[in-house]
Amino acid sequence: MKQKSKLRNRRTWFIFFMVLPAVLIPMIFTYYPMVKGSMMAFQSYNLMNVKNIKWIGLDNFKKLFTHSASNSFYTTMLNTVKWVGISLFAQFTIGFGLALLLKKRFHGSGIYQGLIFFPWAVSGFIIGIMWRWMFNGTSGVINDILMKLNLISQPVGWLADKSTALYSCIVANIWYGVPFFTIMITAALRGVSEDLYEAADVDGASKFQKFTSITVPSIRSVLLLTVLLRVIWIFNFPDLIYSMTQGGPAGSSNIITSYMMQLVYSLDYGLASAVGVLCILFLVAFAAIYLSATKYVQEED
Amino acid sequence: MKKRRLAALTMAAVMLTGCGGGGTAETTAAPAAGETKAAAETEAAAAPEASGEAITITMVESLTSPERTAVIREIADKYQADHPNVTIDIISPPLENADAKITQMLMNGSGADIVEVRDSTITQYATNGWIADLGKYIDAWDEKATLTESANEVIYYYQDTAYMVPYGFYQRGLFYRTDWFEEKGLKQPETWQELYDSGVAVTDPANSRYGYSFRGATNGYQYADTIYWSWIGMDKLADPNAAYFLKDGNGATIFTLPEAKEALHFYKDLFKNACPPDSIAWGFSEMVQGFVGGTTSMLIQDPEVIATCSADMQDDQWALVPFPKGPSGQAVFPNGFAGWGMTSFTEHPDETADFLLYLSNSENNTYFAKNYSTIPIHNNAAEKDTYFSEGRFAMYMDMAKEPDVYCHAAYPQMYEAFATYKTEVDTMYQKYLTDEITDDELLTWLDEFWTKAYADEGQKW
Amino acid sequence: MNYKTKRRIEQVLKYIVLAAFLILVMFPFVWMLLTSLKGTQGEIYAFPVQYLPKPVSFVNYEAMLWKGNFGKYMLNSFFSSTVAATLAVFVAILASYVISRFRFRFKNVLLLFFLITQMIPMFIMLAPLYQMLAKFKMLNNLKGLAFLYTNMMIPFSVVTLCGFFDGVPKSLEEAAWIDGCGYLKALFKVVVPVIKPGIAATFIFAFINSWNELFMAVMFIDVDAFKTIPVGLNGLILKYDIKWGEMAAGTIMSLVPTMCLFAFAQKYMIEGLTAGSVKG
Repeated sequence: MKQKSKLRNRRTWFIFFMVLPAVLIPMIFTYYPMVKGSMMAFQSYNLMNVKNIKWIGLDNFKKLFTHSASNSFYTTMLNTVKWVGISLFAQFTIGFGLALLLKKRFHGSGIYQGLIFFPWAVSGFIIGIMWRWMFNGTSGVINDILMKLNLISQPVGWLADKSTALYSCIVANIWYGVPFFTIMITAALRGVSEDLYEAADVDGASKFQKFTSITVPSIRSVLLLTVLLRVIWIFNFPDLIYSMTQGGPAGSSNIITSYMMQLVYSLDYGLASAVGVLCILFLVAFAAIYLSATKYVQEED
Repeated sequence: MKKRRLAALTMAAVMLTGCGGGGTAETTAAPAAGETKAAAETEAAAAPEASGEAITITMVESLTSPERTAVIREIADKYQADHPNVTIDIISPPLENADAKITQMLMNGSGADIVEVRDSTITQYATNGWIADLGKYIDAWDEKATLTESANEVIYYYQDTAYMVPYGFYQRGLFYRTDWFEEKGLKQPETWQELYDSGVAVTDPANSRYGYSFRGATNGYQYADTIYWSWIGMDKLADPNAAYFLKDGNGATIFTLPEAKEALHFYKDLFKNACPPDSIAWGFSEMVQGFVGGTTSMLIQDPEVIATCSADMQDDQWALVPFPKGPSGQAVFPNGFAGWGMTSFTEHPDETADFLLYLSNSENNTYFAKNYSTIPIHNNAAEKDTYFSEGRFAMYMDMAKEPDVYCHAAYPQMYEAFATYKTEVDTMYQKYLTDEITDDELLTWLDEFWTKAYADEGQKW
Repeated sequence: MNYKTKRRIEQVLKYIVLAAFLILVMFPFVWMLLTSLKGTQGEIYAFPVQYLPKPVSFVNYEAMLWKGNFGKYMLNSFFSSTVAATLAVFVAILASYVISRFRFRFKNVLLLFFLITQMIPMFIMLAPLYQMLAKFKMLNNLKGLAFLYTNMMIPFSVVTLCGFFDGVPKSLEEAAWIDGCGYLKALFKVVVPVIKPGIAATFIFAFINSWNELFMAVMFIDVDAFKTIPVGLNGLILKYDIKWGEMAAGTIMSLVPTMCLFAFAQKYMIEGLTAGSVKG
């Protein structure tokens, strides 16, 4: 009995020390500044005048949800849904498809993987201005190619038109995000033991059956987490939009986080912080629903 | 000293009627600035300048470019050679994020002795007590006599306190393609109407040629403003530095005038009929490249663009001419300024001020202005360097000769509300230009915004 | 249609799809490469678009390497990213192993703790973080930046590695425990080799994310000597112009180290796989 509790004690301490650094560092360098920063959401925290900071309750939040000519927060929220939804769907589908093709090594597959990995290896803002330039309405290379292919007759102002600006940014984002899924899923697929497939072959399973009954369950936890992380990251990725359109024209391509960036540059840290708090709340709610719907948490127990 | 203040008064045409005495500025200075000054005096008494103690002066710039940093470094090296105990560090954050970073540095109160102060940031820095009063250093400066009127005006721009010494001015002029104009038999545009007519004549979408480099993205409102003002005329404005308000209007704005509506219609017509459709999303680089790269035939920009044009175009392809006039007979545009300020938390105010004034002396400022294409702050610049009296720059001298026609006015940047305004206004104009809102909705929004700002903050000019 | 032709058609289709995708992915980079070899802005902005540089010019590379401080920026980026990725992955291996393998209370809370860090927009933390770093003397300091990147990458690494640990059968280290191995020894001797591909992938992502990070590097580094590549490239966006040629040249050069790393890690991903299948 004594022996057992000693063992148990040892085990508890082991767990504690193993987890400690991974908890302590984000506690100090992420959570503490976040809590302090969130307090600005309830203040009239404007850097135009730091001597005049007051607690104002929920006024910043009220301002965000008040309908007025200059308030485009509702459009911004709708855009965020489009931005995350379309980007994620396309990135996941293309990424998964490629990973299946790449699962079996072929001659030059290493180099191939290295090459399609390129987009991920470049800073978000560079991706943004690179695409802004390619989408340029007067001298952009995309217009030039489409004109040579006779798909359009005149240059199109992709980023200058309210109906295309957001979608142009989404195209760039899909291009940027596919490699992440491809690499993650390829790594997971290659970790699935061949024995399982061999056993299935013996049972005479079809390709599709193998896919649904072996492949997907084996990499399920990687898939679930990758998707969840990507949702959060795409949501929190204003860099592209900010350098491609700055949310314009007329606010038509703003997402929540790029809108927050604009507020930071306008020095209204209080309002920006309120948007930030909303972002966190949205995402926490989403993660909670996602995790319980996919039964991810239960499975862990 | 009296004379200087008097000059500043008349030239700035600022409403200082209430503050007759010469000492007002000193007493109304921000408390933080006052503290530094006291600290400066004790320190000066304890350790005279030539003590030889090794010190480092850190200078933070915001409108960074590798070329400009090199020019400043050159001047700093010269200074270091004369003052072996002083090391000057120049911090050059990337332009895009510079203001956000500098704000953090200043809020934290460390890491900078000299900071670049611009017309768009001076209110923020001064209100928060981040920059110090340079009054006593400027009073004792042996080169203050040659400062231009505009320079003197700008030094005391905010609350009549010397928060900065400008390094130069950005005045816009009209760049146009002489070769295209000749081809079409058009003459040099002198008014907005002529600009519009020739712009329409040049426009040929099939060959991707357009009349005018429109600025639809960030800061596009500045172009709409110059059009309002040249329609309305200077007489009706309360103050050149707060040109959204009407004279004796008690906070009433220009946006209710019929001229403003006319001007707004003109602005939209110009965009629809003489500009590339995607120019609604154009910022600085696109409008300049549109002109230099041969898409547009006219561009209104700062003198800095002269260098770009000279590098990428043939000399006989383009000309720089005075700003276009409006129906009021006047051409009204902002006299953008930027300069250097001393932080209120510097540990070496005397040495810092010494270098700051060295940087601003006639020789160094002229050198800087020439290499960076700004309008210099000393009136002997043209004598020192013919660059400013001949060639492309001469146009600015011509405009200066007719102060009644070529006038300066600016948006009310001294209001705290201006920061919010700046982020919202471009979106509103874009909504108007894409027919999402009407002219009345836009003007009402502008009027209400500034009426409220006036009610909240009072008369600040 | 017999099995063999069907397979062959499948193979051809597979390569067509892969090739098409490769073209789409590579096009912007080819465009960058071409741009980096154009000597004048006029050439770069020409319309109709001029695809090939005439003549091929290396002025942009020269400008970045000799006039600018690009070599220095590379070293700085390399230092901060390597330190950050190594530390983050190490810390994460410890934590994720325990989370994946042991039953204890608050496990879900812990997972949520890591997930939430990913949801926080950087801007909300900016001002408090700046003041904190100033107090800790971590401003304007590469080690400080590396530490911030470590912090940034820990949660992602923990969560990803959990997924990889979950895929390893538990019998593996139980056998080692019975053999008398301690927890730690069993982890590093037996489990870690099996998930090498996962660790390699996690390391690459941690490295790349640190390598590309712009905002913190701009905010928390002042002097030129400590700037990283993204900061250097960001500085090429000027008021009137973007130095396309130099930026393209810098981007192309900044790809080289990450590509080398990827080639190197690829080897480990293969090794890890074979080790896993032999033992599993």
